[in-house]
Amino acid sequence: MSPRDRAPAGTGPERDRPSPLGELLLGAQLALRGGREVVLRSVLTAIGVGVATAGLLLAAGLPTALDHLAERNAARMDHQVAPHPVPPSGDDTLLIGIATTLHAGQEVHGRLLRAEGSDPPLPPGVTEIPGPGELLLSPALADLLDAPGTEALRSRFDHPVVGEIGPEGLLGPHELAYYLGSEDLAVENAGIRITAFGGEPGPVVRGPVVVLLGLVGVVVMLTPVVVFLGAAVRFGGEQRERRLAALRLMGADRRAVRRVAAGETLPGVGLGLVLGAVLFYAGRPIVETVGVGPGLYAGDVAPHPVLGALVFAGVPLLALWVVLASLRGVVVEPLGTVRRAERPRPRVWWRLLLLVLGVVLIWLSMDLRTAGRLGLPGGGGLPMTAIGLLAALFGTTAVLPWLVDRLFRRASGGPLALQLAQRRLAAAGGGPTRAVSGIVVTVAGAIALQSLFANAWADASVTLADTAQEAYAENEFGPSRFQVQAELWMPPADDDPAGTVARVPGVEAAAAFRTVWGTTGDGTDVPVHIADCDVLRQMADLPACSPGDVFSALPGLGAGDTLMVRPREDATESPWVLPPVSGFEGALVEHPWSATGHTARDVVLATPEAAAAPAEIAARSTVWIRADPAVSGMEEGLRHTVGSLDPTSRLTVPITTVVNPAMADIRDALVAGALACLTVIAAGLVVGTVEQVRERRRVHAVLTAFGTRRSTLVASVVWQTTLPVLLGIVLATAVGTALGVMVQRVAGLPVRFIPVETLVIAGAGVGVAALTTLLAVPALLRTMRPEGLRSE
Amino acid sequence: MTLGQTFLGLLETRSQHGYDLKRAYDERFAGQRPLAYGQVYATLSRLLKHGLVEVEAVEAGAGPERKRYTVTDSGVTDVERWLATPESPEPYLQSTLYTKVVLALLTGRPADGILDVQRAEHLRLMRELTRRKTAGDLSDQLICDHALFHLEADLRWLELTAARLNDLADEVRGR
Amino acid sequence: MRRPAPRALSDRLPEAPGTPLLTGSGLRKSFGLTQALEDASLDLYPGEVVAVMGPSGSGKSTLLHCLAGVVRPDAGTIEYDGQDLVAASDTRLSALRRSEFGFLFQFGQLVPELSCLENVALPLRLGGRPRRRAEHAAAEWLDRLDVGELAHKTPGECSGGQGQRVAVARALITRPRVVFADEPTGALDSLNGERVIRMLTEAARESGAAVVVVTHEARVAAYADREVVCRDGRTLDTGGPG
Repeated sequence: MSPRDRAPAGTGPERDRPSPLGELLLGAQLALRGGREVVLRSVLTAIGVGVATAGLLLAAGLPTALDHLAERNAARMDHQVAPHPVPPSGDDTLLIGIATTLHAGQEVHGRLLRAEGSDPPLPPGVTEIPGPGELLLSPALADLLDAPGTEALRSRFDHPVVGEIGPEGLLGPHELAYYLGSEDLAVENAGIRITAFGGEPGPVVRGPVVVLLGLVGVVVMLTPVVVFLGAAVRFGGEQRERRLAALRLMGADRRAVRRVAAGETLPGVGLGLVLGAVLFYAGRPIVETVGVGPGLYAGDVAPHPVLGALVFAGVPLLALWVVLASLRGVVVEPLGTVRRAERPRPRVWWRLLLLVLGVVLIWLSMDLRTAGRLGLPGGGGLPMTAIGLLAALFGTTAVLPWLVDRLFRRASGGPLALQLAQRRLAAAGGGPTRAVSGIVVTVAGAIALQSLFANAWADASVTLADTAQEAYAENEFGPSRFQVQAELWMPPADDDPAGTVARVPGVEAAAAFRTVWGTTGDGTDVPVHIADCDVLRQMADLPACSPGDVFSALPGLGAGDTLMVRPREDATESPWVLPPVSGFEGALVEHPWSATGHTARDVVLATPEAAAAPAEIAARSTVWIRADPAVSGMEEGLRHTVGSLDPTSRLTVPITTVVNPAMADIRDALVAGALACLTVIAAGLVVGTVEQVRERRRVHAVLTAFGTRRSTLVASVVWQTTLPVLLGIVLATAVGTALGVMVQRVAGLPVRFIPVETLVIAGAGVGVAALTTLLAVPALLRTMRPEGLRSE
Repeated sequence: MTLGQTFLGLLETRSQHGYDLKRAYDERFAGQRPLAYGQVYATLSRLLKHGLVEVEAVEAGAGPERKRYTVTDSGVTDVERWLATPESPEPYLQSTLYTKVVLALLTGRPADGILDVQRAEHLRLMRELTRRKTAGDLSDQLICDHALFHLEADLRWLELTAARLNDLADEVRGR
Repeated sequence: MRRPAPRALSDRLPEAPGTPLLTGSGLRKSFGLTQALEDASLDLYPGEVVAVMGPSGSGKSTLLHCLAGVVRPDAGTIEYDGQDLVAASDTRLSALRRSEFGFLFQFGQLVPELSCLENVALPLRLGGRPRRRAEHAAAEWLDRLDVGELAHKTPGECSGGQGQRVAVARALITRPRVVFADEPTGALDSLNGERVIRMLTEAARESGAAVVVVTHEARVAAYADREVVCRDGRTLDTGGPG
């Protein structure tokens, strides 16, 4: 006798057993035909799932994007892959000159190009080597030059533009880059001979640190989505529970009901996945508009196949988990009685344990890091810190239910509206708690990270002087109190760089000298600085100087000796027979940043009349400049003037602070991310509040009949939405700051606060709460109509 | 007595022979117990005596069944007064009320008025019983409740009938 | 054998009617295409209990809502204590409902998140009474209605009859001059229903409040002093046919 035959309620041996799949499909059908509420819930679920999917696909695209970036970077390697020793020029060789410069703190990738034959190697993204004086620009640089206010920059690129650099030759759409054809480029000056572009891409940073940071990011990103989904799947919950009760009456068991409920979310989840994919692909071009550094091409962001598959499998599971979690504590009985099992009062001790664990982990990691006991490069304690941060954050959220319970359930003071709001929040169960948790995880995480970055930023921005004046004063060198140095590898033919520079507004004095390299008979290398007596006297304490003089105290160097002279390493040498040489006392004047303590014993100073450098040698020029930093635009003017003289030049300017712009970008991104998360959480809160308001429409109608002032009910809804956000923000600020301070303390860093960003986030939170309320109030006012009194 | 008013009402629709009157009554109101001829003629002669009906014509042949009766003005007034007067609320009142309603419909009078008046009377009694009940002891309460529940049942029937008056009118007049 | 037709209002008014406290006449109201009230009128005298009866859909609830100033009629006049309620502002109506009217509904009227005590105290707090004093008064009213032990339970933990008694306490706590009850026993069995209507009418009579109770149950209506019948949006003159 089979068990089925014995089944007491069996209506026959061939009675079909309902299959789990069938129940899922039944649920899906109910969702498609279930009327406005169910459709709305499906749409909300789809939005939540869509945002999560799109965000995660973006994250899954990051490894690929990094790979692409590294590949493109490697593909245009030039001087790094220049053959050594320098090969002879040939049909297939190309001379390049590094002409990378700065514009408004942003790097402009620049190369001078000179083909030495008919078949030169082409840089990626370039179809033909530009002729002399011809310019190839990246689109971003072309746009910049077209923009108003860049006249000074434009003067440097006053060449015919013959084309554009293709995407394969750029790091990203926002990279400023140019190739300039040159006929002066030679191995003797700034030229580097190469036979091909491209090298091996360097290893992309992929260690546990990156994985962990990615994990933290994903967790922080998913938390608000879970909050939103939690609210979305609850939408129309009352109706759903009635429907499920009807199914129970028809003989569905509890598990079947859960499966049907899960099935009801399937259309929303499916739609959400499609929406997510569409959002991702439609939103990808937006990536190109993000101008952080060179930026990314849309095509760079392609989900890693494995990670992409994980996203498409993981997000539905997450949604399903949220649905089933929302049904926990709800017992669907056949007779429509839906009983919310009394949740056990939250216990506080194990929740605190997680928090303590997090704190201890941070402490330990910092201890290890400062002690350097792990001996790992780049701060081996970072993974531990990250885990500790996560544990502390989730520990905090674990303490929250207890805190919310304390604050809302027990509260008895305050005006009626506040009391109503608190009771509703307590009755709403997980929703507000989840919202507060979400805010704490995202905002506190952002604030804690910001505190870390506040130090990183402080490290990155080394304050050398409080004002530009001070910085310039500190950098003064030589009797003429120069502060600025410009090095010109390809000095122009007119050969008066000092005169040109002196015409820049704000420049008070300029002196130029040339430098060649000489080798003595016994093989000692010595720099030879060539300038007229005026300049030489500013370089060293010379006894007397007249044209034709040479000064040095290099042992074994005297009149009649021959020095083999070349403009730079690997260049062709030419002999120079020395005239009589006299020594000088004291140190050579040098720019403080490149000072190596030269004296007369290891340097040669020569007047041009001594003919140290043959006319054909294109010797490097150095210009020393005294300028007034108070004159606005002086530095930019200087940069452009020097750049116009020689694109391959290098300008050294005193600086007050060293700012790493990427750090500022990260800070902005953190604030923006926190705000976005806050918005998603608030949206979830709106959905939850609207849903609760709708469920309470009869109560509201009754309260209205009782003569309750509209303002009282509106105020209660204001409180209802504002309290969780405020509580979340306050907690997040406290926890985030505390964690940040702790991390800084333990790391032995000075404790820094970031009041501005914290205030921005907190203020935005208040704004979001207000907006939330505004969105929930119309629904409330609708429920206050007397129609709600009519029994249904 | 109610038989008399019923006859008057039936005659108001059209004058007819005693035999037809009996048939009409049996069909509508008698249920399982048809009227005895003796009862019909006794009633008719009582009505004749009070001047509520009169003989319109006598057809060929002898015997009371050959007389065609018709209602007089005072007969109509009598029906009207009867219809307007609520029955004393008591159990098993429906047959009388039903007769009244059907007759009102047959004679083109507003039947819902009958029901309204009756409801008012029922409620009056119910209020009195309720008052007695709230003032009295448990046995009083039980006795009053018994009456109240019966009266309530009547009232429910009244409501139901009121709701179905249009259907009933169609049915009554359709015959 | 023949009795004079009974007249409405005839037999049981405590004293001479005097002037009505609340008068509604010629009331019309439609919701969309549904004509809920055609031509309804009702006079309410101080301290009397009036039952509004009629089949479902006859407009009796709408009549009650109009009289209570919850719903504004499309046409007709409502006068309460010399004031025109049709023209009164929403603020004024709310204030009136808070202070002079009490309400009792069939179900779902207690705020589920508040305890019974807090629910009963609600109208007083809406009127500005400090919380402690309001709850003190509420406790007294709960005791008076035999549900004192429910003070700290939530409505969800009460039975239907207990909940309605709590609601009666809430309707009467402001000592209103008129209590509007809309099918107050509709969701209860007869024993509990009678208990509720009896407590309502007795407590109202004690405090001199007039009551308008909408009901379709004759036994409930029997607790009233008189009844008004609604049919198809009209109130009937119950004086007799014709």
